[in-house]
Amino acid sequence: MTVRQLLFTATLTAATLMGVAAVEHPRAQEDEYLGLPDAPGREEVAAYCGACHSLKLVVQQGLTRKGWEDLLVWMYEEQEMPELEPDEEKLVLDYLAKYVNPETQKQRLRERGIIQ
Amino acid sequence: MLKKTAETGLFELYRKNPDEADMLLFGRETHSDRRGFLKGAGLATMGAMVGATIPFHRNMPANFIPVALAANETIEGKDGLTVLNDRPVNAETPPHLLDDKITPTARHFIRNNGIPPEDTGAKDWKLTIDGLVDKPMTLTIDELKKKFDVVTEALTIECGGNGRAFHNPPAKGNQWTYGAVACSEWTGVRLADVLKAAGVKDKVVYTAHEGADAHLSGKEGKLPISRGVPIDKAMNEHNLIAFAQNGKDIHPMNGAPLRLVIPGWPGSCSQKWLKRVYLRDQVHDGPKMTGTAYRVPNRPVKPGEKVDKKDFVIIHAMPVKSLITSPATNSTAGKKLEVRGHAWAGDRKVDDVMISIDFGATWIEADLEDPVNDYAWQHWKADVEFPQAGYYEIWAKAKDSEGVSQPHAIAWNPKGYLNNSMHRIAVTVS
Repeated sequence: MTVRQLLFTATLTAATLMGVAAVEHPRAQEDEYLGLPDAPGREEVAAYCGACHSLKLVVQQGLTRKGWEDLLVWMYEEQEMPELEPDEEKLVLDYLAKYVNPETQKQRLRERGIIQ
Repeated sequence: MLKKTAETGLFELYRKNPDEADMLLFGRETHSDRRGFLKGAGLATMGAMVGATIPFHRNMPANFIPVALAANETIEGKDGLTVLNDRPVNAETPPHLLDDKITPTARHFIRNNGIPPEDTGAKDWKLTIDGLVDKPMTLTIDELKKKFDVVTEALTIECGGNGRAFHNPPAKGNQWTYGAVACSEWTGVRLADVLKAAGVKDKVVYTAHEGADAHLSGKEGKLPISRGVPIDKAMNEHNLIAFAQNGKDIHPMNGAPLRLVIPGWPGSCSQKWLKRVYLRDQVHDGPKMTGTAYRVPNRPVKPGEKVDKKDFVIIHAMPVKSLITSPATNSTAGKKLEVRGHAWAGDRKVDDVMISIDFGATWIEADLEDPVNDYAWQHWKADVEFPQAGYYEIWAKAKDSEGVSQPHAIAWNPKGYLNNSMHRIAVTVS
């Protein structure tokens, strides 16, 4: 079972407890990773970031690795995020720096027709 | 244990026996009047499935499947908004859908910092006024209406981070483009009247606001946001404790049943789901008041520059700005075209709006209306004539009553606030 599925399980716990076979809702048909490429770290990003807020907030950002690092520290220090183990933290930061960065931020704005 | 059953499973269950499906999936019992009450785990499950709490869940009919489960990115009671974030919900309105003089509730942007409260019933809602006041008070909404003058005003609310998406290098946070601004009609009592009735002590310098939304971490008692304003600003007669939006209930995502509207300043000052206002003898230090939140450097900085936390200052009034709401960008047009939109200027008024169709080489003055009241945005329109077919950009530039205009370039700042650079749209003339 993937980490992401664990989150779905949490979502559906109530139904499961009532003895009902878990039924996935139609939204799951869409890309639950919102276009994030399948690479090491994706599951962790989806799970750790998605635990408190939508992945949509993640994929629209345009941060450098340092920017992501600062953001993570802010979430640890001020937003009650449990600290990640060093190896997991590195995995998450490496993934974000590679796939969600200043260039992808612009790419997304271009796709929305907001900038040329 | 998690079975990936057929995607249509949920709808199949409802087709076979809707009442049974209701009971099985959400513990919802169908009542004789066909309303189906959801509570506890069932409500939580549905909430988790739609990605938000369901403030009006009591109104949902039995066997009702939230539309959000069938079609992504729709928000009940909202129309055409671009969803930037669905948990918590943050959504902005494309400029051409802000064409109305008074923003319909369905087109008012949503900026949430935390998890909105589930119970937004007006009847038992209470507001506490305390801190450094002579007579602390707790009032119901009915009591507010009875004790104080009820006023209606068109008031501009703009998110401090509107336009953040264009900062380069990008700043963290919701990547708002143009549409985190609106001017609805708000009905309520004046904040100043209520504070005067409570008796503002001499040493008060700042207000502090608290709402009923919960922190994203789910930590009990942790506030997602609690901001305030200097007492002088708080006493301005246009600040409202509002209980109606456009003559009807406030939209749940816009703060029902009670919110502050402190126009002209970052929207975050206008606490939603308002439960408490207390007065302090220091600058308020609640969540999102300190650090770099809703603050900008105390000097112009180079894009990307690292700025020391101590050099950040709290944002007060929002800067002069304008929006082209017709035509939509990337439209086609004939040689003659009416261009229109709105302009606003924080605590000031807008003196003029200029339009350019030649990349800023020449400008024509738009017809500008007076605001319907202070802090309402002002409408402008201009008839432009294109000399020949081709690609054009229309630019709009407003100037405020102190002679300050919108800049061409962004005054970059680390958190991406206050981008009031000119709005540009593309038009192809055939």
